[in-house]
Amino acid sequence: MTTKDPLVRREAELVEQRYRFLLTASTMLSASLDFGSAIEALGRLAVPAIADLCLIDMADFAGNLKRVSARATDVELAAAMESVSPVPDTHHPASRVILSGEPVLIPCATDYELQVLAGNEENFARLESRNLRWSLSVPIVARSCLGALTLIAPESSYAEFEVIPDIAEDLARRAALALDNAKLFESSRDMAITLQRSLMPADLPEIPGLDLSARYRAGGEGAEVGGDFYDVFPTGSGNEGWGAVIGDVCGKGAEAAALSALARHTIRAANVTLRKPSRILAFLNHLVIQGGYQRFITVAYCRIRPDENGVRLTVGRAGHPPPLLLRGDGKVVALGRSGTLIGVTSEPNLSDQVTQVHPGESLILYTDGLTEARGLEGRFDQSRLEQELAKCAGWSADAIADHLEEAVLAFQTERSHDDMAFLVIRVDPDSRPRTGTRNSSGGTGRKS
Amino acid sequence: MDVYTCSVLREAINKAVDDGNYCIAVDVQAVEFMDSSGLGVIVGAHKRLKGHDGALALVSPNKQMRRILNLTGLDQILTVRQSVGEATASSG
Repeated sequence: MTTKDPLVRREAELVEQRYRFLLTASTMLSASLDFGSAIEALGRLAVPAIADLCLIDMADFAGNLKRVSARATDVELAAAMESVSPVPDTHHPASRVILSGEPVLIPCATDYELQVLAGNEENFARLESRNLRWSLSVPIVARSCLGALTLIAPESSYAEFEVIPDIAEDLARRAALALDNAKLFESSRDMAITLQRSLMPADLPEIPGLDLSARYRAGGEGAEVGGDFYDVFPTGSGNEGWGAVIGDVCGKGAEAAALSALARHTIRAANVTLRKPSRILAFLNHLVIQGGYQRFITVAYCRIRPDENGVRLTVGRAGHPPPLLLRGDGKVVALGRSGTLIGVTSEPNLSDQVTQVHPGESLILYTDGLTEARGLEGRFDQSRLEQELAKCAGWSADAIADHLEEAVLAFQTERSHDDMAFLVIRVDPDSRPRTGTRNSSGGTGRKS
Repeated sequence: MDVYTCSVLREAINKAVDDGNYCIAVDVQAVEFMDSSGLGVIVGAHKRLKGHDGALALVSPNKQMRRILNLTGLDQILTVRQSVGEATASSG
């Protein structure tokens, strides 16, 4: 559209600007996956484009407004305004907006109106000295939340732009949609986290003579449950033995998590009647094949029996990378023999391998999220894992777990899609589990 | 052959099976890396072909892939061959 009339041309420019602004707003808002970043995006859109100061107040379950964000070109002003929420039952424009559902425009605030908006004397002085007497509050109405967006600018700065209220309302509508989506995303992520927690013990057991530490890092964006699981549990009454298991179900999502939970609890339950890891894994395989699950599982299972020389370890592997044993001299040994992964054939090839673990030595169980972490030099790999482990001889379980976690995070250049879990079990250096004087409440042996 | 690329192979195998081919050899010589998603495609294909009394053969896997096939015991279940000719000959 071309015209000689400057007023018409100005109007056309404004319309174009407005569409460009709202297009940017939609893009920025819809890219926000959590509530905090959607709020942050809203503030960034408003300041400085259409206001000097932007306040966002959200109603809590009782209907009281809480300031969730204040953004200004002036950082000090923003910080000062962020700390004051609107006082209930006042003439604060945000409160009026919530009550009426209608926008509130104050073209030139009186001192009283400015005091209510400011919230305290210091902020009143700040707004007054900058002549920030123009304000516009619009409702943010979404299914899951209610709030107000308040834009503040110097008096009369928008006298000629009657489109600002329209833009603000449109912006608040788009923000409401983004906030709703963010809440939805957060609740599905919370569900994923809850489901994930069922795949591992909330706390590792206190085991006399053993020092335990575990790490788990979720891969991907967080709303999807991974298939990694681990567990440590007693295999009989008293202190006769323990089972330690780690596994990985192929794929992600609720279905993978359900199969992980099945695997974890089947292995626990199988211990009532079975002892050999290979037999327990064969039993799990039988159930998975029988259940007609389309996914497969890899598992490493270790039976731990304390004896006079430390711990007698029996390892069975079903398609899982080998547990590693860190000897006292820093030598690293891969344990167990390759065995068929679970859920592929009704006749799996599974076997057991027995190893003696001495006091002060550590066992490391892990999932392939650790060894397949991707960095500039390719994959982290088992060989790099062994090199890093070799540096940890004699360390406590926590120290080893910390070191491995730091090493893999420093190595990887991109956030992994895959989950990563590992479990470190160290035989106490002064371990005398059968006849010793230690008690289970001790918690010593955490330090080397 | 990872989470981002494995669907290409899955679709190719599914199409071959839909067309009535139950003995399939996959030339994996050019595959540099296979993760658990890639493994999922292989296992899925194996199960599907097994259901038709068929078989899956992998041809010329590299070292990393051979290591994974060994780790998972799949080298005992699938046919692993050095050339396509060898694979087709052995499956009759």
